[in-house]
This record gives sequence, structure tokens and C-alpha cells, in this order.
Amino acid sequence: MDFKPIYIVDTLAVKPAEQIAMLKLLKEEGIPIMQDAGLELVGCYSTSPDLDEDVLIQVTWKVADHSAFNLIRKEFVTDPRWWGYSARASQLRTGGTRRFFYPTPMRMTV
Amino acid sequence: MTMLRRFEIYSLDPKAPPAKVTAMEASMRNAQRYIPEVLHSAIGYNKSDVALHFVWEHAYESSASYQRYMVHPFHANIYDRYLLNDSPERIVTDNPYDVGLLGYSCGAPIYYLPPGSARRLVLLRLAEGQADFFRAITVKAQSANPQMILSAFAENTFGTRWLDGVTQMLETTTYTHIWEQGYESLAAAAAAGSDWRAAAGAAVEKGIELWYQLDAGYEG
Repeated sequence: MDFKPIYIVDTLAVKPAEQIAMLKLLKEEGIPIMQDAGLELVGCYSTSPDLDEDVLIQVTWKVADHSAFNLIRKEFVTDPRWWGYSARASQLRTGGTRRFFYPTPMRMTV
Repeated sequence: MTMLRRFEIYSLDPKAPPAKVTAMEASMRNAQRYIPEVLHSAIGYNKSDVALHFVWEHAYESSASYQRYMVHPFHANIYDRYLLNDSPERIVTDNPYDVGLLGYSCGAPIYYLPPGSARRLVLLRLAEGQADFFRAITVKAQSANPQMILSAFAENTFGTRWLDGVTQMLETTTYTHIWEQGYESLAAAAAAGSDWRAAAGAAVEKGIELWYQLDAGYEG
């Protein structure tokens, strides 16, 4: 498998009542911090808060390869803002995942 | 060739799902299975009263091999999952000791202990210029304790050089030096005591000790 580019998909589970708070935190802190570190934001989507289940917020990032991510990791872990953001996000989350996705041989056709 | 000796030391989240803790343990104990550059990988659970629970000790043949570890997909996919503060699956916590990543350079695996042995790890902040004085204390301590089968004392160079093991990124680190001791059993490690503290006096500004049995992912 070719490990580049990488799509990093963060899936954050929150209670429906915390959906807006998590989106606000992402918009004001999480996303700017990661962009400043060098990650490219691909998209941010949310499930409905009206399903009587945890809301899933999915944030997708793009980075060239693992060498680039290694340097970006250094940038965000040495950014004092990241520590505060991470602590606040952990209070809002009920769970979630971070997974690294790589290109597949599939091609989209229309 | 300069080897890099490295420790990652963590407090575990008491709410961490046991299955995730088990998975992290396995990924670290058996690190060489996934990242060939990781040498002499072993894990251990601290038995001292310091509230740090988990130790992952290992080494690299060189800075170049460490840099290959840093960019290996397994590192970002698996280790970061359990450790990074913003990971939704983080199972470690911040700790009041300011301990995380430590290590030192050495010319050979002077740290090596057979699987099942026990390690006593002393993390020290020494007053400036006291390293030679303290080194003499470590030599004396080993000669006074026949159960101490290994003693390695070195400057913690990794704390300020964690990106590649050689390039200094940070001005200072909390623990300036590492003294790792080896014993045949956990009981011997626990019984070793800290008589050296009296001799060290003001040379030691801060110090904590951990001891644990090696759960190694390598063959003896």
C-alpha cells in the first residue's frame, strides 16, 4: 500500500447537548491549531443531534506523508494552545477514534 | 555507532478500558514485530509509591534508526492513538512529575537485562556540575550491593531532543540524568533502597524512583 497522501479522520462522539460546544471548540481552537501546525482541513461534518444517540463529529485532515506528519506532530505538541484545547475537548467527548486512511486503487467514475 | 536508549513513562487513566490497555501493552512489548528498528523492547508496571504506572523501555541502533521509527506508520496509527492528548482513545493521563519521554546515548547496550529481570530507575535533576560527583556515588552504590547486577548512569539527552534523538529542541528538561539499575528479581530491586540520597545531599535537586519487572518482547 502507498502510504501517501494520508487522510486523518477524527471521529468525536459527544452528547447531543454538547454538539454545538464541540463544534465551537473545534472552530475556535482545534482547527486553527492544527492548521497552524501544517495539517490541511478537508472537511468537518456532524451527524444529527435529533436521533437520541451520541452525535458523531468527523474532522478529516490531509497530510502529504508520514515524514510530513512527524514534523507537524512536533509543531502541535509544542504549541501551548494544543494542550489546553486537548484538555477541553476531552471533557466534551464521550468517545471516538482517530484513524489514518491511505489511497486505494479505486477510481471514481461518472 | 551511538545507540539511543529510550523510556516512555506514563500514568494510566483509571477509566481506561482494559482491552485498550492490553492492546497498548502488546503493541509496545512486541514493538520490533511492527517496527524492526525498535530494540530490546520491554514494558513494566511500576511498584514504587510514585504515581507513574507504566514504563516502556527500548533502544535504537542509531539516530537514523530512531528517525525511521518516528516516521513509521505504526507509530502514528497505534502509539499516538493511546498517547496523544487530543486522541479520542487516549488512555494515559498528564502526571504531576513532568515525566514522559527520557533517554540517553550509549556506545553499546549497557542497559541490557535478560527478560524477567527487574529494573530500578532513578530519574534525577542534578545541580549544575554535579554529574561526576553523582557518578561516583552510583559506582559506590553498585559495589556495596552485590544484587545490583547492572548500573548505568547518563545524562537525559532525549528529553530535549525527542524529535531525532540528537538535535536539541528544548532548553531544559525536568530530569537531567537517569540512573538505571538492574536486578535479578523485583524483590531485589525493591529492597535496594536509596541510601545514596544521603551521600548525594544537595547535588540532587529532584529525584524519583520506579521499579518494575521486565515483560520483554525479545528473547534472552
